[in-house]
Amino acid sequence: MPASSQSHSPTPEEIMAYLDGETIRESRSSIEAHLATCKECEMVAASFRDLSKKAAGWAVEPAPVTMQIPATVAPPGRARILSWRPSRVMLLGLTAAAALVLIVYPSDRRLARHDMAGSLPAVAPESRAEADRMPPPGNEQLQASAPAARFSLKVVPPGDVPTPRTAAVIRTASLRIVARDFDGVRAAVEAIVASAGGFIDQMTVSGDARSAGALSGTLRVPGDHLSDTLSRLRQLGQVTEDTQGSGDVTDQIVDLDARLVSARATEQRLAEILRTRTGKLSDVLEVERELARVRLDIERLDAEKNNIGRRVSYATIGLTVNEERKAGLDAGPLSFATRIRIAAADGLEAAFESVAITTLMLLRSGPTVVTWSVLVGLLWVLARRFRRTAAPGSNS
Amino acid sequence: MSLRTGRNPSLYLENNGGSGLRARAATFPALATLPLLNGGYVSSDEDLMIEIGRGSRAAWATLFERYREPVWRFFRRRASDAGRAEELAQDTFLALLEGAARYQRRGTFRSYLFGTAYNVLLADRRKSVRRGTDGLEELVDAAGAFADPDVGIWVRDAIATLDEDDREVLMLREYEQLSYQEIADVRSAPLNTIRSQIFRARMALKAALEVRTPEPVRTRHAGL
Repeated sequence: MPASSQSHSPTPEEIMAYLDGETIRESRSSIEAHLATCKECEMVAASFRDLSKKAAGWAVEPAPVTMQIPATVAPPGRARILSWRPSRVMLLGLTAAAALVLIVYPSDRRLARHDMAGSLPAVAPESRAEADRMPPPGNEQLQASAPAARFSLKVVPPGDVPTPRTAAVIRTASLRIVARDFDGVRAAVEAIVASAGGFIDQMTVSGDARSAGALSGTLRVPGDHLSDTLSRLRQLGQVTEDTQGSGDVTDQIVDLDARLVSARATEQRLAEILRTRTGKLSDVLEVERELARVRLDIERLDAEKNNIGRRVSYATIGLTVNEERKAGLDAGPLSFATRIRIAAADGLEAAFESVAITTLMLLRSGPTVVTWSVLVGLLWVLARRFRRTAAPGSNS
Repeated sequence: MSLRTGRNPSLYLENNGGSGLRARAATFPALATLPLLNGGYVSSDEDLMIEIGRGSRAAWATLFERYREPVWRFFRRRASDAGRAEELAQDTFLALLEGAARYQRRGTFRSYLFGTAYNVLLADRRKSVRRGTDGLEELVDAAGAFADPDVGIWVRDAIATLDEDDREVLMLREYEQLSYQEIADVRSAPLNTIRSQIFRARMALKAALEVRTPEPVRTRHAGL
């Protein structure tokens, strides 16, 4: 601080700012005037100048020739956002967060992705439409912006990415069919299911060459092939019953996911405790027991989730096919001609049946009747001969 | 120290001669060798950044040549070795390139450039802390080609003793020749705070230099 007694004496900081060219014009002229007259302040200014001169003595060598202009076009996929490079810890954290998101949030979204790929169709049509509008996975975070595509990649804010609201839906259908040609039904059903990428969960075929046949079974087909499969099944014969239904299990899946995450976190904590802390044997055993219980819970929840996932992925069709002759006249929606055919077939069958029953009855009881007739006839002949022999003796 | 023209309000060209606090002569011989845009006029840094954002390679080459040495010196004085300084300088230019499309004319380009460099430096220092080395030690260990080896080492060691914030502010002023406002932009701090920090740092540097004055220099002063 200069020892000047003048009231307008600039402070050393003001003198420094003046020397740095950081004062306004009015202050600058007054400081200039003051420095011209005040030796002490001029000494302060000189000390600042001297300091900067000394500081400039720390020079460095010129830039090395190896320091060349960076590539003018960032190679796709390798460009970095600013100079940020994730550390190992950050990478681990991001990986864990991504795993958490995959586990917790969008199990239905993942199903939607599978749906788009045609491997695991599982969502309702409206949900699939939303999923179709989503960008492909690789484009969610980075998208090349048109003017900057040569040099940089644009970070798309999360809010700009359409968030699909997909639901996990279990779809079911039931068909009852009357088929005239029952012989080819089973093969046709198997072919339809196979072409849809599904499988036969259960099937029973009854009947033989003489009697009317019946087929009942449970078919599982990918959800997006349900409509197509039902259409093809309906062509097997006359449909007498056709029902469809669905059940939303989104909440159930979200709940399961949340419980799974919680259980896994508990498992990790317990494992960490077991690994890092030492204590009494009883405590260790208690932790191990708790860990086993949690792992059992995780397996159970996993199995439950997988089961729901399978049901969501594959629609269920309950199928019953009756041969036309067996269908009966009471089947409401059958046509009059069909009923005539069924009545004629039943009449002929009854006639043949009566003949057959009579024949069988005769065949079954004939030998017995013949045997007894022969025996009775023999006894009658013997009885007559005995009476004739006794009659001449009494006359003498 | 800096050159300002009517068409190029933000074109600063550093003269590394080190002649004190006042703005130095507007002479820059290398200017004639720079590739020019816009029909032969020297484009401002801001214009170049806009052009780079649109994909101009010539603008990028011009900007790189213009700031190759300043950015190198920025890191050479702060990094532990030349290789590291070169790497950080390259990272800074790469960050500029990647951010060109989002660049907006806010503040001067120099504050934007050294703000980017400063962020690169801070990121590297955070890594150094995780590696177990300290930025201050790196500065102390930094080697350089000194104009006057005695004075250079003496100044470098004195600066290394300053408070880290004061040291950064002082170096931005003394070596990068940023204005107070530009330093405030780089550091995201109020202007008055920066001014106080610079003053405090200079006082501390003066004291440190008086304590560390090499014997030959003292002898010379004593003789005067």
